[in-house]
Amino acid sequence: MTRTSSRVRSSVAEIEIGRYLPLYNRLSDEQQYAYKLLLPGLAMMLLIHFIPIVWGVLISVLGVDSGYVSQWYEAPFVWAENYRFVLDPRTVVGERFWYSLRQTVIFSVGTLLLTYVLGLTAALLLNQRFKGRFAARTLLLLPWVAPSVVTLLIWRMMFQQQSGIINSLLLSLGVISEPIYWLIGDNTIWTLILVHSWTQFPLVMIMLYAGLQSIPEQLYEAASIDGAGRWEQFRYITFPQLKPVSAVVVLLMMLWTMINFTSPYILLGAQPPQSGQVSILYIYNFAFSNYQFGRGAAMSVVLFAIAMAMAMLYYKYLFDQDFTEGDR
Amino acid sequence: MIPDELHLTDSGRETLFKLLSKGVLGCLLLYALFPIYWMILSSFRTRAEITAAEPSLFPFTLDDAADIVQDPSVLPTLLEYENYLTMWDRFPVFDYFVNSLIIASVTTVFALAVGCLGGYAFSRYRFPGKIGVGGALLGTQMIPGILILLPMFLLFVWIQETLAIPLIDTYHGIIFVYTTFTVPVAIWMLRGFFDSIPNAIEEAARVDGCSRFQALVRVVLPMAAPGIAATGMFVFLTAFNEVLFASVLARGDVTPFAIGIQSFETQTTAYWGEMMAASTVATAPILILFILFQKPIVEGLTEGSVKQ
Amino acid sequence: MSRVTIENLTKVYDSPSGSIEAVDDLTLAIDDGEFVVFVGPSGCGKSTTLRCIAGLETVTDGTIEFGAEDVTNRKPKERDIAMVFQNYALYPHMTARKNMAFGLKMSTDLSAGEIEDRVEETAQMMGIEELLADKPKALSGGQQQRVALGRAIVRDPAVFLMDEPLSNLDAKLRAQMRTELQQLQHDLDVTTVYVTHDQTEAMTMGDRIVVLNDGELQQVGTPLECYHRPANRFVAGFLGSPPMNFLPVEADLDAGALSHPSFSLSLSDSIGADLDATELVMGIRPEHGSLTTTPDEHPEPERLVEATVTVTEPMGDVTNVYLDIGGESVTVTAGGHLGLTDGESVWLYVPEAKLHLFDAETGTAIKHSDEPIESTRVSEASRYAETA
Repeated sequence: MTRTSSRVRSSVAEIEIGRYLPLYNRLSDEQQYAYKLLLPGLAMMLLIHFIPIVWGVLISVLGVDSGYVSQWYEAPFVWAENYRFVLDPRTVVGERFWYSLRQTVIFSVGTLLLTYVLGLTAALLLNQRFKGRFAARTLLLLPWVAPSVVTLLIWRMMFQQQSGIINSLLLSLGVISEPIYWLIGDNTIWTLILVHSWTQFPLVMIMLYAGLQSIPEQLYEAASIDGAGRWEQFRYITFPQLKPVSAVVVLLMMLWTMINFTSPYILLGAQPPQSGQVSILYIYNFAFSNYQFGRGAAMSVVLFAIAMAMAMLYYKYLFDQDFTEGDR
Repeated sequence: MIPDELHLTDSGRETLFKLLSKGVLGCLLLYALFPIYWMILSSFRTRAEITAAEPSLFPFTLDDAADIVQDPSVLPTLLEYENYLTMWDRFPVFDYFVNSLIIASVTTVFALAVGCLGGYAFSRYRFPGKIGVGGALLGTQMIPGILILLPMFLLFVWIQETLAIPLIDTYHGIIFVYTTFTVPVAIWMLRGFFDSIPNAIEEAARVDGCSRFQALVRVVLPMAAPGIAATGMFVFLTAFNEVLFASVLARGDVTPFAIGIQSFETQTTAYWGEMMAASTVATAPILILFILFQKPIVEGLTEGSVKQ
Repeated sequence: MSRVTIENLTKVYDSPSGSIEAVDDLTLAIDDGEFVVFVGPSGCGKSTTLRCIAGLETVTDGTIEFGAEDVTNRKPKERDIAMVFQNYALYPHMTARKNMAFGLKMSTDLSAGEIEDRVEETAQMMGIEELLADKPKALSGGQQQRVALGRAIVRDPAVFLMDEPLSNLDAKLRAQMRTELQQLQHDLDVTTVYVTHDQTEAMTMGDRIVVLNDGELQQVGTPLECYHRPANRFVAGFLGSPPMNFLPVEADLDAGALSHPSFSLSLSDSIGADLDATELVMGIRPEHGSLTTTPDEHPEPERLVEATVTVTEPMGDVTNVYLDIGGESVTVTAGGHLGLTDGESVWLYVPEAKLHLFDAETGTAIKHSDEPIESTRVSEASRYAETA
């Protein structure tokens, strides 16, 4: 045991980074050690995140199409032609891309609103004392824990127009008079929001729940002595106290929904209707059905820029909050 | 002083509120659990039962249920477990499971190894560029996968053709990609768990004769075991659920469950029963594991975003 | 066992908001087998110094030697030390037995059997044989404390380092452990550095105490030395409870008296001759003042200072009387129950021999009280004279 770990130790300790990076020698002993520990993770991120992104941007200004899949480096340099093409609403591709961006915004905002309402309701309920609270929390988390590939297919089955249980239930309850097409046509985006929210609301719930748990009980006691009723307590204590958590939830849900691929891809199946083609799915189908990598990359960069602009807000918020805590 | 009548209305309102709470909670639970219930139920049904115009919401008729209560041994005869037998022959489900298991487990091991080192460095040390690296870690979560997939696909094709190293449709190719994608989250989550371990304990270990690295391996990691397990489960699930990269980089012999399961629905027929049977087999162990180990998992997931 | 020599130790922390000097040019020699207590308010640098001795902090400047060996840049594991932490820092995933054995396993070549024997032996000495199979979670605070001590003792190190080891115990247990620890250290005769902010521990446990403030050494000496012969106003004020009273006075050298707006005290010639500053601070230990309500009957009526009683706190054996003298608060600890009422006028008497005087500007002590400081362990006290 001892021998193994000391061998591992020496292999970590003896990487001579200083030989290649003179600046490294100026760091303190502890800092050098920290970098050694981070090295594998940083190297992988550089390889799979940083380089491909730079490369992706590069490809977005090259005319890479089906003829250049294995010789991408021979593709002609086309300046901003790809961007002009995919952003030009007069072309079919441009028009559809703009439409997909619009659907993406609807998808993100819709999911955010629905998950927030469901998550907050659930969190508030769980924050009360009752028998079986822990069990309820566990059960409410299951939609998020169950593998989403599986649950999305369940929803796909339930939303079938002919044989799905949803239509059958709605019909027998008299809510609708004819079976609805849930996964075809213009309604698809709403179905997508409903289903994606089902997979995500437990996460919102548990984050808000953690926020609720951190509100000191005395605040409520003081408020009720001051004569605040249930609604006033929520309005003047709970909601303001939840603000920091809520801000994180809002940005995370927006961003993660924007770049989510699994939900539309699985729920909408092999022939997704236009209404359900959010940007990432549209880019995927566009790029791989025609091997239009240059234009696909240009669209990806646009999507990334939008996500990044939002991420900046998130960073700023998070760093202002607590990032520097816990250092020694 | 509060008049008596008001007291009454107050307690009345209290009761009403409680009832309302219970009602809303019931609705939420129904929404959350019905699809899972429906999956299990459908997996025990024949195609005719599944596609019936008015499918029954319950597994048994009242008469059958009465029979079962009287004599539980009749239960197997009333269950339609055909799907669980036919799915293996009709589709290569077994291969899908094995592929997913290999890909997700190896990814988990690698991501945890790299993540433990990085998360520990993040939790314990201050170093130049820490905020930048931290930002980059979080930033990776904001990247649309497609932006990486396109160049990565070209890169893999290029490496395969010029260097003759097969990467597309191989275990090592997809595992490498998944490991990298999960490492930032792993670092972030583990950092939270390491933060909760007092520094004094590893100082004690160092005074007791450990080097820094030995203190990490022999004292800190065993103490962080619940957190490591939670992170591992998260990484495993992420790898298990991934479809964007898998749909391009892991087809053929290495097709994982997440991609393979979609083939149960063809252009002409949907084998819902078999699909739900396979889904139940995939979901059951995950849900059971979660229910058993939920505490550290839930804590770990809320740690990064909601720090108290 | 070894002598610990610290020379010009300086530790600077760099932080984004600027650098902080936690320890500033500290020089100190600790004798072989000596029990030295570092004491001071929080942030005074006592813990940092201890951690530098342990090797847990890198030293910015200066050297640390164990015996004749320079250990300044050695890793903790190469120093032959054992440490007891404030929160015990027991390994929660190991039983008490494994906790105690861990250090021996990592730092020595002893066989498993030998380690086992030594753990058993130490556990017996500490009275914790029954606890060996338990994990820390199953132990009470006091039991954890014993295991943590046992873990340090079993190592048989050259130096013991203790970082506020008793501060998490309740008052009764703390008092008990205080005596026990002293006894243990005496029996083992291992050089011990003990950090505390608790002055009772400082006064009762150490052979010598080291008073630190703001990273700087204030005084090194036996507890009584520091108490009765404080080097400066900080030490005088830090040790003692209730703390020493300070009154700003002016030395009127011509009249040979100390004058304060509300009183004037004559000085004997021998003391007046030593004064070279005129702005002074007079220090009075609460237990050195006595009170009278009948000034006419007092043998030295000209040395009485009139005061008003603000509050009395009967503690049982003694009474703390809070006085107002010309707008300043003075505390006196008097024996028994005095029957004074709030607002009553009393006269305070302080014998000249018990007065402390400090330079108002620098805080350096000019005159001490004449209380004897030789402890009954005369031989030991004289041994420290040379290092002090």
